[in-house]
Amino acid sequence: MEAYVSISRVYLKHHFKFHLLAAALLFCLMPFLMSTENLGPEESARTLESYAALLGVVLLVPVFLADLDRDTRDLLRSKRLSFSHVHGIRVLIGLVFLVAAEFLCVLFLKGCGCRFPLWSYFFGVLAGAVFLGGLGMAVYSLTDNPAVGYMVPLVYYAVNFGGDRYVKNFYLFSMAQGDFTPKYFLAAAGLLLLALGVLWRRWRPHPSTPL
Amino acid sequence: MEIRIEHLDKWYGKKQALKGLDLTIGEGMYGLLGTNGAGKTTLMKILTTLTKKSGGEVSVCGIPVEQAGKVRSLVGYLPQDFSMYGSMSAYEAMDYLGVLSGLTRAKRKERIRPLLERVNLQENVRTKVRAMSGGMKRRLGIAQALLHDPKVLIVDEPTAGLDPEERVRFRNLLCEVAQDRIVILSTHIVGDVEAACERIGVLDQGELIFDGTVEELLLLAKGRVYQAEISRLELPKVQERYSVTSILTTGNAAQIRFLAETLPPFGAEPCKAGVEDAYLYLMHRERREF
Amino acid sequence: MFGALFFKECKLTVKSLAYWAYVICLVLFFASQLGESDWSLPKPLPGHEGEYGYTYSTDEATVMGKTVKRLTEDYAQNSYAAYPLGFYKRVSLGEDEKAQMGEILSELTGRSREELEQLGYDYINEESAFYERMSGDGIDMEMVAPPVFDLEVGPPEEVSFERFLELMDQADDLIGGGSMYMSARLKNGVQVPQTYEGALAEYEDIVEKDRYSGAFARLFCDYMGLMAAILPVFPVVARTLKDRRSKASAALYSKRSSSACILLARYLALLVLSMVPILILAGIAQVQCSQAAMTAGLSADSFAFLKYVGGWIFPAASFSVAVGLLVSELTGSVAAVLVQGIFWFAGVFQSIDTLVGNFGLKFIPRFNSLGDTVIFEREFLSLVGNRIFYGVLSLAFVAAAVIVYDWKRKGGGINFGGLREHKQSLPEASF
Repeated sequence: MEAYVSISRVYLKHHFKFHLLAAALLFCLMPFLMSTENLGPEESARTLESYAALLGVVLLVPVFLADLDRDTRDLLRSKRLSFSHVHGIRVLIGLVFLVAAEFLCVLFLKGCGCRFPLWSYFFGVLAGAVFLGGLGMAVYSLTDNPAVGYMVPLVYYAVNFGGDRYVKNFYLFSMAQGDFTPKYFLAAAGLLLLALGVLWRRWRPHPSTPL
Repeated sequence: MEIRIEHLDKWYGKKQALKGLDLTIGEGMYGLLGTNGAGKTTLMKILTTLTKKSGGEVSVCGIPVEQAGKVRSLVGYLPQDFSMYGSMSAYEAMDYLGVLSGLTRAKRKERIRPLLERVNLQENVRTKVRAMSGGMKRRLGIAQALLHDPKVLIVDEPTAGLDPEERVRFRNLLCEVAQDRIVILSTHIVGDVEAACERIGVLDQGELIFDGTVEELLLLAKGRVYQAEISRLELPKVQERYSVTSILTTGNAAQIRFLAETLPPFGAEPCKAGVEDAYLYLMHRERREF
Repeated sequence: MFGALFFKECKLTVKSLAYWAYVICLVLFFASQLGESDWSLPKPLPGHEGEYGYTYSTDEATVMGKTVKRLTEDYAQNSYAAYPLGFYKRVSLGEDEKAQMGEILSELTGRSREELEQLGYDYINEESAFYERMSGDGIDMEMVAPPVFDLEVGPPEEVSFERFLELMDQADDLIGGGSMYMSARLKNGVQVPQTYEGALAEYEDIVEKDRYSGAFARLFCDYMGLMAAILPVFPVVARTLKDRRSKASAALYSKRSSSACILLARYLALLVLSMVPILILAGIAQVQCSQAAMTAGLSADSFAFLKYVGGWIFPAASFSVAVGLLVSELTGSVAAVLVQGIFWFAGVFQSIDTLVGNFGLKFIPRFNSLGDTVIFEREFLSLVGNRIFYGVLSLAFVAAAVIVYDWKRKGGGINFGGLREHKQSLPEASF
């Protein structure tokens, strides 16, 4: 247990703080980029789904970013504690902060006089965020390339502007239309992708490092 | 306490990096020589469980490498380019790596400072990794590899990029820690091995072409090393026929040292073989250049 | 020297995973947004009133009538759309302001505030009931007429158009500025249903002025511009990280080439390669478009896509690449994704409620309409200005990146905002 605390502390102190800072910046920009005051349910959903959900990308994708350097990664992998534990802890930290950040967003809208059901909207925006973050994190794990990891969820997000024709039950902006079904799919898929990302790092055939 | 390797194969796609390696390594310093790309790093990565083998058996102190967790607690590893998160101080880096090695807080507290002292980093406990010189990083690397008191220490190209003074100090440090341990040192710098290792293995294109003591290696080249003084104009011709291991030119004359199976026709005299000569002889023989 | 470097950079990028991910994302986006378009343009036929889409009218009576009805609806719901800073916001008024808004409406219509609120409510309810019925099955569309909003501006001789504009500016102030009621916007006209004659004129504009393919090229740029404003940053980030990962910086820094030469080669290589897939997609669309025109017996402009992509998308891609280079050089991290991401997000939402024209200095100009040639011609110069602005800005960013690169090369270092000198030459402690 003490080890896990120590790993969390190192992640927070040396890596995650920059991403938290980015998330805080995005949160502060929200009232300037989106409408946040006295909104009805549809408008609130729009702000949450199309803006607050992006925090998932900021907080979940960087799980592997700390170990960009292959030598460092090899060194850490050579230690007794499985690297997957480290990744798992980082995912959990990302999730904890994501939950907090989304809750803050939802509370902020409430405080601005918006009308919507608090808990279901909180769940809805969280589901979208976990999906986008999980997608980016899994793609990063598969490709070992942070740029691609950030690009794929953003493109997926952009594709959703065109409506739910192609994405069906994985439509990101369904809450604005009063439909919550996709949120369950998104949440499940997001968690699955996070698990896949961690496991793939562990089991993938290791790239042929030139000798 | 030994590392046992039997018929070890490793394939990267269609390229075979290790070809049926058989090797047993016991206590003390073992030097692994070979050109870049000979398979040294691959072998080390298999021993540290960072890469999976394609075939054969490998066990470390009786534990097969498939049991990665157990093997990892026996092995300390210093990779070629040791690096940690740049924003960490030396102490933080040690502490973190100690956590990953499964050491308790008390154990870490007890061991880190003495180890940093031992590698002469006591003044740099708070120095950030990114602000360290190559030599300091390497010393931190060895300290972290020893942190969990491993039975086996694996060091990849430890002296590359160090200045001569640093190199000697580093070699001595390795010799010190080699007591009661297996230390495997991979390098393509013959001098490192000559000075520090009792036993030597030579890898070439994935095959072990020599395994024995330094004396045995020297014996191979005995009577096959010559030196001569020739005119500079003759040099290209001689280089074409023989493998020349050193040249010292003064004016129009050139002092050369070279390898030959038999006494060459020009005025050359045999001389005592060094490890470097022996190594080069081995490599040339393997490539059938004689 | 420069040429060789340029080709080396191209080769490196083409070999990178991030670049191919970029290409795949572009193709997928194109396929999902425009893939099923058949690029044909049917000539409007007479007798289909109500099906010709919309156009804009500047007739004073029409503008006043439409606007007052719209404002009454918003008033009844106490919800107004506004675009302060260019971003869409929904605004609700407090009690005092709501009363003032009521006064404005009363003056325009001669009705009391309560009456207006009731009228607005009734209409909204009727309208939503109507649309609900329409979405049901088996309804004969011909048989149901949409509800009529029975509200007129008070006797026109009493309310002049000037007074109307004045009152609308007051309303705009109440909302907080930037609403659709500001007089500058109202002077551009209000949306009304297109007539057959209007639709025919628009069709002829597309055929003659746009030479068919021009209108499609605008639509292409509207969609692909969205992607060009963000995606090129990813291969750039991957490229810079590669330097860091392979620790190549030190080796590169020591080479003879000037910093400008190295970075310009990198910038141009990344820019050219970012444009290649977009140009290929544009080429495909151009061929299909020309064929569709030929089938309809019309001649198309064979270079329309090239011209539009060159003028519209190229500066966007250039800007993305430049931001990527500058931020990556500054931070040595993936922060460029965040920075360009914010630019992009702001750009997308800045234009989300005015998808046709109104370019200004928006980073992502939208023209989400097939045709509307007249509007485009009217705003053409503003688009040119907009694109030149971002083109120049991107060059400035590249220049800044060169300066940063040069500085780092000479031993300066930057770490997440805090400047620091490299401490690599720290005196060696001995064993």
